[in-house]
Amino acid sequence: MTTGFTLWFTGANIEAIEDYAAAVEATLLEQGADLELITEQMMRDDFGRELGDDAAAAEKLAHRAAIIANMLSRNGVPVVVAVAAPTRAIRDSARELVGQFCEVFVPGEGAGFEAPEKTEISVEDGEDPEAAATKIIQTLSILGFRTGGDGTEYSAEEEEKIKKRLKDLGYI
Amino acid sequence: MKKKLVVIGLDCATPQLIFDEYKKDLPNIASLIDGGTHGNLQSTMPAITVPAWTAMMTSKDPGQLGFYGFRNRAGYDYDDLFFANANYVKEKTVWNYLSRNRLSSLLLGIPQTYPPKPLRGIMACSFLTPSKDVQWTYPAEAAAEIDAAAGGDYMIDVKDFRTDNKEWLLEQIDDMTKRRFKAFRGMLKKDFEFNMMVEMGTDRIHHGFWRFIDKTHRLYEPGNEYENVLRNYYKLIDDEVGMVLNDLPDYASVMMVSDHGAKPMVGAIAINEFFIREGYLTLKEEPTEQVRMTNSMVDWSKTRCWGEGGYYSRVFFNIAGREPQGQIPADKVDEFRAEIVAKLEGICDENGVNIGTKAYIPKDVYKTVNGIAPDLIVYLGDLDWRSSGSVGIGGIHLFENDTGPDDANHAENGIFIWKAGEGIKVKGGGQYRIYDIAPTILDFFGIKVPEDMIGESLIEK
Repeated sequence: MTTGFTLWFTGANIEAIEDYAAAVEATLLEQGADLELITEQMMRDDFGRELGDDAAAAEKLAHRAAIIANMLSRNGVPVVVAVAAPTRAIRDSARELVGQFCEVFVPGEGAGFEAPEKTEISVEDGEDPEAAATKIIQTLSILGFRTGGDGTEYSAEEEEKIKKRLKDLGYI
Repeated sequence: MKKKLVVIGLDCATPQLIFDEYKKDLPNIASLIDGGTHGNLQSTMPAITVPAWTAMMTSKDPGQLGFYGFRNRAGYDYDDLFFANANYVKEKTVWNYLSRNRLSSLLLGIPQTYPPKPLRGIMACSFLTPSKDVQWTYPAEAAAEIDAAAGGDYMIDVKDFRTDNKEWLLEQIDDMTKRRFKAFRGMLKKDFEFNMMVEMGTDRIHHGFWRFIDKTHRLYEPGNEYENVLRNYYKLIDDEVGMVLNDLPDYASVMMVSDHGAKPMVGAIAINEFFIREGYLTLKEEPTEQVRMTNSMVDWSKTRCWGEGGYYSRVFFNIAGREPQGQIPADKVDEFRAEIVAKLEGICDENGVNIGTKAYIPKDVYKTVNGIAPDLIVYLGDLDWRSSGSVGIGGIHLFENDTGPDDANHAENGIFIWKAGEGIKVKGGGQYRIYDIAPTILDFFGIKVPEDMIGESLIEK
């Protein structure tokens, strides 16, 4: 079971954050979740063609992404955002706008990027995206954004029922 | 372009009946055969429901999956076994990949899907579900919908299979089949992209009734009242398939598969009696009557190997440093294995005729060996005979039923039929592999086949 939330990937290396965001998107989809992915490229292509490449443009792009994310989240849709939002001020503004907000920091070098002082989740340098996705999704559960977990093992009584059935069927 | 794939799985459906003997009585299935591509589908080793269906849905062999049957060793202790339910399936399935690509799946009764795992779509678990008192669907609320679509009570499996009341058993199998197909047709209206059901009735009826229909079976009696039971059941299946086909849009692609085939069972080899006779296994006390061997009966200090009963035999070695009271020195294992293989492959029937047993070494047949595999996978009489774990018999040949049904054993080849649709050319040849189904399904939906899948798409480029 999943409520609306925004999982915001930030970092200096846009390709890296998009890789990790895509892995989380795929894993959540695999688990039956309905969600949306907002990437920096999507924002530039569809919502920011007129913007340049300076700091002001980055702020506007992030703000527009936050507005879209908020509209989806408040209607119960989980959103994964892979938009650099290079300064703490930009990210704080997004966090204030979107109520259910969780930040994922992907370390990396890059000019003009302010690393967060505190963040809910950090990806380790070079961490495998699939493994990172699993860890991130578990953290979402801990934070209360998702509920439910793996199926249970058989109880002793259930195991005896299964054993009898398989014996009757000749499998064991 | 919209795509829809319907896969009808029939557990144990067997080529010699569907493609040959009964084909003329099965017009709907024949329309798929004649209008599409078909052939034998080579199963896994072992050719057993678990792991075969999961191997089909993941394109991974049992060694990669780490389970070799329903029950598997969790550790090297003599009694440390686990049931390989869905919690042990770590490889990605077809529906995992479809979900990741925002494609929805309807799955009814695919073996090894309990407990239900989340997916994009709806799943009803298979016969390894303890009962319908637990969550047997994903999402949980789908249970009521599936029950309603089934006409009141979706039957996961036949109850009380070990009954002498054959008429009642037949009614149960028919009822279960009709309900599952009805539920499938009802749920197909949800218009998911991938739709798959697995009917277990074919397996149940083969094991329960083969002796009545097969003139070569030692228990066959001419003119018996159940002589047409399998033909009639396959005709029922064909009618149900016809109703599914009638409901489908023209662009739907339809596949039929089975996990393995069926063949007459000659009898059972009491594998532990064989090992006792050959001096490889010693019991603490000689049993006074036929009894299922339990590990507490074994004198492990005088035992070098033992076997499990089932449609094939798993043989385990008692190795020093591995098992708690291991007797085979580690540097003698290869020599011992060769000795046991020769002995097993020399097993004869009650008339002294070699039965053609084949013993396989896991590392030779799997890409890798995860979990704890049997030390040998043994097809007694090349699956003409089943394995019995019982002792106290006084011989190694059993013709009386010691535990399970004795009519049919599994055969290595199941069926593959695909009427793929316009513009899709399917590889011919008549012999396919179970590992090719998952790649084919993904390819059908335009999803890149993962490199770690060991099969290949059957769609010609």
